[in-house]
Amino acid sequence: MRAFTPAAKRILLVDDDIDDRELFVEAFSFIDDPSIVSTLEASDKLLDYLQSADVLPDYVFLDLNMPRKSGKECLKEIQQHESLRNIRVIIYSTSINPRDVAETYQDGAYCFIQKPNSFSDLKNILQKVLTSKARSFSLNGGYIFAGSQNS
Amino acid sequence: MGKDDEKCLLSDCTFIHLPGYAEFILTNRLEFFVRRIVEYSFEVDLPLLRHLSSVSREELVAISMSSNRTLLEALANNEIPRYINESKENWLANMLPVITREQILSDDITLLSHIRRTIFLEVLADYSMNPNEWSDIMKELDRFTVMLDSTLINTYLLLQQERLEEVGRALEGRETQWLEAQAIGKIGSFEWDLVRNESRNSPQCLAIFEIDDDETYPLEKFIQYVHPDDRKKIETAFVESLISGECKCEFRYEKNGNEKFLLLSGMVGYDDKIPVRIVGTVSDITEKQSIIQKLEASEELNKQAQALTHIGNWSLDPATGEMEWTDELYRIFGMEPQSEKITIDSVRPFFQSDHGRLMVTGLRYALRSGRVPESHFRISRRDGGAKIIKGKGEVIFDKNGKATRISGTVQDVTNEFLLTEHLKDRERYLDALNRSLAQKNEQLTNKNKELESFNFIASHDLQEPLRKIQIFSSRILQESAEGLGSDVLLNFEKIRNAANRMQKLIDDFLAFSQTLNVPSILEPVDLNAILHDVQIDLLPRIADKKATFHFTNLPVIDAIRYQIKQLFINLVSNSLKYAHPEKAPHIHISARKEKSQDQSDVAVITYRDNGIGFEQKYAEKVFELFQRLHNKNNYSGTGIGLPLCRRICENHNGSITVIAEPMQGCTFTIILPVKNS
Repeated sequence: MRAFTPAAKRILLVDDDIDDRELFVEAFSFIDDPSIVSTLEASDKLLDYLQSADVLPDYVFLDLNMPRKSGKECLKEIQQHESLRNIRVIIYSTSINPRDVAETYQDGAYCFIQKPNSFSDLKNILQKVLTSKARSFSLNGGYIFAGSQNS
Repeated sequence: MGKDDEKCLLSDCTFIHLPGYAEFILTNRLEFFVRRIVEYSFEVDLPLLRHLSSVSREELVAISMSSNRTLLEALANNEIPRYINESKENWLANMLPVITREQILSDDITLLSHIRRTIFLEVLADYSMNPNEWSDIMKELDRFTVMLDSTLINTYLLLQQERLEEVGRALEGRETQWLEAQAIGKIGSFEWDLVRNESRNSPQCLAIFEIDDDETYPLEKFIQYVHPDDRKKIETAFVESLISGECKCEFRYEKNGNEKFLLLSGMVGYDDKIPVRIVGTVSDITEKQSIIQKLEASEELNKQAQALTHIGNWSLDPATGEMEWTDELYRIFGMEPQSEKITIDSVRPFFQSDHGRLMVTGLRYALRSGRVPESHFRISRRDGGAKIIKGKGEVIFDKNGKATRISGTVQDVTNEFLLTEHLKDRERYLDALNRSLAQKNEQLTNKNKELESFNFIASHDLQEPLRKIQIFSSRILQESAEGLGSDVLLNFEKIRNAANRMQKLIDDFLAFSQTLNVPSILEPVDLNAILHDVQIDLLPRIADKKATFHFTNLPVIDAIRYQIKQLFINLVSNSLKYAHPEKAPHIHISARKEKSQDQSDVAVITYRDNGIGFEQKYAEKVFELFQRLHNKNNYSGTGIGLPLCRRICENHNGSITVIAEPMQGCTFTIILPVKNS
């Protein structure tokens, strides 16, 4: 349980791709919002990481296609733990299979983001997700998929 | 002899001389007199004696003694009328000694008088020597004899009369019976006098011919009421009968409106070889005829039924092995109907391999069980062909439980059998086909799985490095452009374009392959709203090309919203891409409702542009995957857009076709159901 609400947002990316982890961290340096970003390579270590963490992250970005444990499995595990339910889980995937979008929203994902093709798009998207008060993101920019589209 | 004379004789019956003589015989010569009468009776062979052969001579003498004593006493006492009367009464009352009244013949009466008179004369010499007295006695004796004889003869006649009457009554009874029999049997009799040409007809005969009260009706006159078609026949029968002596003819007869069948049969009577009469009977056989006709009809029907169903009947005498076959059964065996006698031995060689033995075993089994089990046999026909037959039957037993007959049916089931075989073949073939289909299905399932994983590779693994190329080249262009030469920047720009193009290819390909795979929801989709959305999505390019649209009153249809949007995005993109070099693109969309073949509503949407079009011979080619009509340097396209449109339409149980002309634009006709389930 969090004893206090930190001013800076705590963000965790779980992704086996080193390039994506680097780009992700770099993009946050351009975002005008206090945040603490960490990354995790091994998805099968996520639960241990969260349960042993002093402070839980506010956002967990999950890649879908990872070795040993997929992003979907990670999402389900998080949702199964009462103590982890307040974490906003954001799917961060290359593929935008509508079935995956539908399933992950059903399993409690906060939103579904396609990994952008340009660095500036990545910065914009992350800015939007972190600063939005609700999940009603504008879909005009692409990349972000609403759960209601397919369910 | 008149009655008066008889009375006279009987009344004048007092004798003068005879009583004394009778008295003499009674007293002196009775035994001799009786014995002589008996002796003489044998001499002259009195017929009556034949009935008395069992009586001895002495007994006869004793009987005669009694009767002659009565006679002599009557004569002696001059009581002749009483005696005659008593004799008559005794006779009539059948109270004669030893014999019955019917045994006396007229010969007996006269002969007995003669015998008695002779013996009287023999004894006379003992009584008197006076010739005059003899003469007197003789006269009185003759008179007595006449009196007695006449009475006895009359009595005899009376008896004969009685008997005649009895016979007559019996005959009358017989005739009544005969006529009744005629009425019951509907048989009439006639006697046709050919010489006088008249006929004596029994009442039943008249009733059959419907003739009233004319017993001498000439039989040939009835010919006018004979059915015209049968007149020749009956005339011929009569003429032939005069030679053959017999006639028999069936004919139709109609007098008072109702036709009947009559049978006439007769015998010709001849007088010195000349036919003089025909005696015969006529009977009404209408009922019999109709029954025969029905039987013939039903037999004919049965024959037809047998021929149609190829069922024949047979019947076997188990004692002799002789069989009776119907016509159809002969045909089944390839023989002329009834052309030869069939026995169990003659039929056996028809059966192939051991089927003959099976058939005989089946019949033998039937004699015990009462039933011929249903069995199939293969036979070789007389005319060479082979047949499959199905036989069964039942046994008829007499009251002692002995089998008297086996009868049953045989059906030609060759066709059915062949059909069954054929069906079995088909079944085996279909089984094989099914197995092969199952294999193919499995292969297809595997292929689908492969394809799915390929999709995944395409959507994820291919995009992964591509995205890296894009994101890093875009970073260089955006963040480090100042430090690079213009050549390097141009090359980076080319890398980015190629990557973008590949990105688009992958996206289109994925959209196409997912069109069928995605679970989707049908909802009312307003095509007007869809086109507005499309215009917004494609706004920069529309503005760039200065394209204009015209559409009004498009329908609302049950559809998958994003697929329909994709459909129009693809069509509009195409129109913009293949715009006429000298004309601004104009897109015209209209729709109307029509009834499809199954009477459901369909929307027929016509989408027309004024672009560069293409030759009509490519109208189907443009819907094939990865088929491009234009060089990609001139027109950027992936060859997926229109195939995806077709896939979307088919996904909605609809269709899309195109008519085009080079430089004259394309006209797409899209047909989509208004209500979809």
